[in-house]
Amino acid sequence: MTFGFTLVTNGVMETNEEIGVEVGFWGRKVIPLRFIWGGRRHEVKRVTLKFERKDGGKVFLGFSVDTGTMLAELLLDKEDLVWRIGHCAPSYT
Amino acid sequence: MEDRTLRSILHLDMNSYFATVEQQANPYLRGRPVGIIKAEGRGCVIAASVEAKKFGVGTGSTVWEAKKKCPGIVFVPSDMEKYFSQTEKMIKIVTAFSPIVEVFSIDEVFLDVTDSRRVFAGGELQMVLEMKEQIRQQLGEWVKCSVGVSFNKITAKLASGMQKPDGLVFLTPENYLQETEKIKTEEVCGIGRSRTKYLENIGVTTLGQARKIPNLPEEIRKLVWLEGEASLQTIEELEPAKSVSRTYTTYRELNSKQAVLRLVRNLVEEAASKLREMGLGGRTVCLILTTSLRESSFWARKTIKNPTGDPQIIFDLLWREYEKKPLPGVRFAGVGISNLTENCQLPIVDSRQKLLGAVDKVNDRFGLFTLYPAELLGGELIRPEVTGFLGDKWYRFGGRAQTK
Repeated sequence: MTFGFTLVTNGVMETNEEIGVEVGFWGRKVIPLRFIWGGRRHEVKRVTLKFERKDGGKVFLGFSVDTGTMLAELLLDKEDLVWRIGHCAPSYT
Repeated sequence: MEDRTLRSILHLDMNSYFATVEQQANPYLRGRPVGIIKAEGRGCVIAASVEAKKFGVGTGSTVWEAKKKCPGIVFVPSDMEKYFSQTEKMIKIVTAFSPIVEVFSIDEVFLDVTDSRRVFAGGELQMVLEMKEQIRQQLGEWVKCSVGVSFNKITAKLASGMQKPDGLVFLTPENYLQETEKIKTEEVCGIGRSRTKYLENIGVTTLGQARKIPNLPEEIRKLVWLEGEASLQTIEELEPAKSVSRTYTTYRELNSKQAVLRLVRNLVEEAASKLREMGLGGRTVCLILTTSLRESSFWARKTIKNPTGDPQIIFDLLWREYEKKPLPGVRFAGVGISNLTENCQLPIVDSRQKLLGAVDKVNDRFGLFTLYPAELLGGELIRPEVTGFLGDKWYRFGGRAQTK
């Protein structure tokens, strides 16, 4: 099931869709390995940044990820543990 | 023998912070000149990457200037939540090395390691190397910091600026005067534009030259000889904000009363919202308006009995004063609220308090100015300034943050 909206500016797509994410656990760390979005499976090649984002009265754990063809921001809602894709852009941008 | 009266102060400065965090998040921006702008379409660079700085692009450059100096520059809209989140990580890392930490701004901290260095086999050097390594591991390999180690804050801060990026400079009581001789006076924290101009007028541009001048004004003399304090204002010692203010310079002169009203209302709305967010209310409100080149100005200040965070009350007070002596041709406006009190409850009608509470909830959830007064309809809204100055330190990291 997907929710959200899509807005494209300068090649960056702002979206807020619910997605499915497969994660791995490394010690105490959680690492997104792949995610399904737009009917496609995207392999995460590397996690470039981890951060926290407060938005809409909620706190999200954010992961900037590089799939080799796309850069995306994956957000885990810390309250209900739902994953969303924040924004994404082709990796050349 | 070691002088036990001397403190050991570290100043850690994240290099080109906003830009390197963006380059960390987006590896394809690494090595490319990047300019961080307030938002898409806004005209000013608020931070530049190391690569952009080489072309002369810096904080305050307009987008137009930046493109002219560096045609290949990539502009990225700022993402303050991301930067604050990284700063919190950085503070957590450094706090493990000493409990005496002063958060100076979003990308700078001071640490007093006089006592804690004794538990590190390699002293300050080992501490800094470990700190840098942990920052690299937790914030990312592209994010770098420069560290200055010295015996007071002013010298430690100067030291961290002497080697960028990824620097480490020690200034000791034995070498600091010699090492800083050729440094430009404006590099010293506390020597601003007017003091630099004063020194330039007497033919002085470097610290070495300034130290040869007898009878300098006392404040400037202390700064050029790098005399400063070593005591830090820790997070526990932070005090609540004393005032909240918002200023704005317009692109063109505002001649109609309606345009000035919109501007003042907008600034009042933003300042009052910040006040309520921090759980504060103010008793003294102030409005300053000036024309181009400050040819003429308007100034008003009013104090009321009960503290308020209600923008309507604040605006009405200020506007009544403005109506007495309207000023045409406004180019700059500033609204200030002071005499602040904590945990203030709005003393007026309960329904108004409820309304403001509901507005704050909506704006918190969907973004500032999702709900705003009808007077602001139909024009561009002025949104909060994006800076790393951290005027709300107490609210973010101090007492308020701990009770939130």
